[in-house]
Amino acid sequence: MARDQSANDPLGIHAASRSVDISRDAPVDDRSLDYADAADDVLVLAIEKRDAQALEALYDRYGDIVYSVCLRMLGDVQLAEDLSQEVFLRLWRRPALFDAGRGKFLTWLLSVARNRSIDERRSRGRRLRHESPPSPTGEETLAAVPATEGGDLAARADNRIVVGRALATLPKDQRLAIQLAYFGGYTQQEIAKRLDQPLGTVKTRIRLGLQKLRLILIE
Amino acid sequence: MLGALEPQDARSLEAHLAGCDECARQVDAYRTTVDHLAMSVPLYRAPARLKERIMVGIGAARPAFLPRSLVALRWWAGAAAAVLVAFAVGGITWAVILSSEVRDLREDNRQLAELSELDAEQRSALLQLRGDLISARSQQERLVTTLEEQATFLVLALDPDLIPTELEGTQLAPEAGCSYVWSRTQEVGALTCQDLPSTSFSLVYELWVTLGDETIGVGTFLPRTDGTAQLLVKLPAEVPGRMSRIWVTLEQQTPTGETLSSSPGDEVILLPVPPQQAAR
Repeated sequence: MARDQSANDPLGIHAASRSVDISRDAPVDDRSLDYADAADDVLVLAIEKRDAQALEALYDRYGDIVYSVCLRMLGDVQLAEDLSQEVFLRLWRRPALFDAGRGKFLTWLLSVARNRSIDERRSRGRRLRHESPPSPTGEETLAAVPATEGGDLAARADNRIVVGRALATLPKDQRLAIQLAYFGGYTQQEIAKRLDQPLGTVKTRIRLGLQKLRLILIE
Repeated sequence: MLGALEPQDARSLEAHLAGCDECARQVDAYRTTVDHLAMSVPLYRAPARLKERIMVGIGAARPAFLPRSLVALRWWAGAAAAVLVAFAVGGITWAVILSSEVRDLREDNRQLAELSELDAEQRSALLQLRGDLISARSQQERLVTTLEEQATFLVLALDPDLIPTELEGTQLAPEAGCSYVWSRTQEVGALTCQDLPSTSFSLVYELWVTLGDETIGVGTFLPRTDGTAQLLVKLPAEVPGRMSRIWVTLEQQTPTGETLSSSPGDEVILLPVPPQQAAR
């Protein structure tokens, strides 16, 4: 089925993940590779040829956002660090798992981080492993330093703000249901149980929330 | 999309999407929306050691430390060069020293050769060890932080002028109980709780105090897996005298994770024990 990805990507978040249309068979001339400016797909191909500098370049580009997703989902700096390491080592060992034809690199990378974090949460019985009380700001107790939006991060800063604000406009019930599903990895039935709400109510909240979110992001 | 369907529902949906282009397009549209959610996380700077761990893990970086023999080799190489100059100027006395250093250099060269003969598996094991050491160092840092917190609690426990307040769980957490103590000398308040229900990832407990007409959130916390929790808050000496109420609510973390809630929500978890009940 041919599907138009760009039409569904109003913020261009996927486009922000640098990409070119090249095949895996295309040669990569490592001698002339400008790692700082190379497209994500090119760097992934270089990784297939065991180019450590390519992995380093992708880490420099996306290390903070991968770490931040893991930290958001796990609430534990050590676990977030361990899982972020796993994500990039997985990329190194099996770069062919990324299929440029099915989406952009950053989307895939963050989905790996999210799925791995969900697995970790489930293996820990869905309980957070905070050794110290975290604060929503995180700076003090999570010992994590908010990254400044410099360099490559600046290109995605606006998108992050837009998405954050879009989420904030949702009714609390809808936002909570979506966040429980996306960041908590809970099924709809589990969410219904946790919120002590009928399953149908939870399904409706998620559906309405996603509809509204999509409309906001398209605007 | 969200991955929130039960496995059998997910399978049914996949089967339907395989034969329905219209639904597949709809799902793709929402999948993109869902993909955006990851971008809503507060952005944190990854620890510098993470990059080192990764690069060491793929064998692309040499561990930050050098084997002693290599360090010695580097040092002796410099020393030997200096001694050579001195030998030319100073005469036969330096020759003896040079001879000794050359012997050391040969020994270091031999050790270096042995190191270079390590096979890939041994090098990998060394690199893995390096990664483990970095992890251990990180855990040690966290332990030190925890110990410092515990030391503060201990100092508070020994303070003879503590002002205690007992809090009990509401119907939302009937088993829960907390003790809040404040030390005038330390200007520190400590909340210790037991039997707190675990929270979902987006919810956090928050301690509130009312000072005159003003209500402020002084700190947030989450329970450990055994239901206990601790929170240290720094309050100026004059504050507790004006404190007219203290309680704990369950609050949602803001999507951007920027600030504490500006006002307490309705989900009150802990309230002070009424005086007559506390007296019993």
